[in-house]
Amino acid sequence: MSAGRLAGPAIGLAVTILLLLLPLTLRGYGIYLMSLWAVLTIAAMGLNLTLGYAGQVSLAQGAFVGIGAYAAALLTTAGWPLALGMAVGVGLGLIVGWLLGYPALRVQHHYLAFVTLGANTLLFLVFRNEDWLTGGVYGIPGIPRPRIFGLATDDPLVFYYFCLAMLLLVTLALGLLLRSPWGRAFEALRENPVRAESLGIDTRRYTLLAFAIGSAVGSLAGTVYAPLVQYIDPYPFALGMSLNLLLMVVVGGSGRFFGPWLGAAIAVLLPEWLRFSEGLYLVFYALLVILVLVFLPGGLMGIAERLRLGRRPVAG
Amino acid sequence: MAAEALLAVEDLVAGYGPVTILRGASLEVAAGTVTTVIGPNGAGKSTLMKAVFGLLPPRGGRVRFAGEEITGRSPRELLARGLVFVPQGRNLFPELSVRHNLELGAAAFALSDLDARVDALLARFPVLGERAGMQASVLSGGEQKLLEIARALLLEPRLLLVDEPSLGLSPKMTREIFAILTALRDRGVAVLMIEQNAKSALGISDVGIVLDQGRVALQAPAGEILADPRIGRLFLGGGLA
Ligand SMILES: Nc1ncnc2c1ncn2[C@@H]1O[C@H](COP(=O)(O)OP(=O)(O)OP(=O)(O)O)[C@@H](O)[C@H]1O
Ligand SMILES: [Mg+2]
Repeated sequence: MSAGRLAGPAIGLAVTILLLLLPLTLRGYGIYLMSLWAVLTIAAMGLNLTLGYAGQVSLAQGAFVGIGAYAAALLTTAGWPLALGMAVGVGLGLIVGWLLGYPALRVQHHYLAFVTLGANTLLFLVFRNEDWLTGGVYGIPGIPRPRIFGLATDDPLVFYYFCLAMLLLVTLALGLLLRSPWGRAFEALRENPVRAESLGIDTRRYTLLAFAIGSAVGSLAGTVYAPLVQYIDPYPFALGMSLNLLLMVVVGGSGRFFGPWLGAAIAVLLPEWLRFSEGLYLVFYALLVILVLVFLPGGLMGIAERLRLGRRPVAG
Repeated sequence: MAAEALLAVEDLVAGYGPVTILRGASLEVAAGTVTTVIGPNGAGKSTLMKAVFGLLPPRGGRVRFAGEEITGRSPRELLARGLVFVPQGRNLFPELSVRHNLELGAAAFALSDLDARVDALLARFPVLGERAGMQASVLSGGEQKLLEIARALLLEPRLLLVDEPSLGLSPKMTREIFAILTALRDRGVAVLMIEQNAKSALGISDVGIVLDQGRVALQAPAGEILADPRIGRLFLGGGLA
């Protein structure tokens, strides 16, 4: 019992030390990958709220990362601080995410997947075609790295610590949100909307909130993504990123709080480890996803839970 | 004039789409009583509770609770005022643990003492306490109904609406559930229940209500209804007279 209770904090401490110290031993590309992991984890945590906790499928999360990235890129290249880009990006994510929730009031499951997929395509077309604003296919180059409390983050290592700090902040904020009545309302909504109604949950309102908050967290990730890559064009925000984020959530463990940490690590690292296999890495990745979907409905975090609780896994 | 009833329903009209099911139902539930609604299938009993609890918008009439007009208020507002509802059939989240299901009874509220309340309920119902960490789906049908009732008690209600709590339960389990409902009355919680098991339900009730074709045909002390030969023939399978 007490060993089990200490396992969580012990793992947390080990992971924190790893995340703080490992990059000191890495060179540019490794640090970039870890930064990318932190950014994608933020976006996947947002999707995990919408999908894993509130039960609403979204295939548009990549486009919300795009909204944040464009907001940050446009404002910071015009000389505004990144903080403003973040505020605008998150604000836009909230509004557009709220609107994206309306179809979810009428359709569910695979129909909702198609509707959100359509929304992703629509947003992608805005990024690509409205070149007066977004630079169209030429994109936006020269995105500056922010100064944080007067400290320049041009150095990759310093910028990595900024990404990590953002990830920890988002993790803390989402943790608090999920422990609040909102978190319980989202869970009840996911488990069964009709049954949730008699517990006093306004399922309409929480469906919209799940999309708005989850999408806004995606946009926040985008506002960190833009200064990380320093050049954005529309193509990363086509359907590919949305699918990738969805897989991160599912492989890590949908509705498992730290699932996206694991899912994003696999999505970022696997292509590197499987580089020897050339183009075959996608095949391996696809196989992994299929195996997880078939054998591990709780994702990789589900295994940890099973080990901890004995045979019968119980969420929460 | 007697003190105002805890719940007073006046000429309530409700339905689905083009059909009207409740056609002006009126009834009262006094504080500290168990009141049972009986009536044939399709009479509109469940519809009555849904309309009272704000799950179905009333099309006419009034509902008053604890001296306040609550017609058409949302379930959340009613829960906050001490009116809770356990619907017909299964209402748990079967994948979640017993404890987690209890916690979700307060899903719409921020309770600072949530853990203490959950612990108190788990202690009060040892069947649940012993199974707190298990998935709700492993509970028997009766234990699941008990968990639903316990979950409704999390908000410390003044009136519990419960729709056919004995549905699908063994006679033994039915008696246990009824015993829990009467124990609630003794703790000052009023109960309004719907039952097909009219004979045993009226046997533990203070007041009976007969609902027929969307109207209340009769509201009377439970003993009188049990003794009424017409009611016996109509709703109780004819075995009473
Ligand atoms: N969601 C709904 N949509 C349309 N019609 C409905 C709906 N729910 C119930 N009805 C109809 O309303 C009528 C009354 O239903 P209700 O569930 O209130 O009856 P009841 O008295 O509770 O019956 P039972 O004893 O079978 O539970 C029935 O004819 C039923 O078919
Ligand atoms: Mg019914």
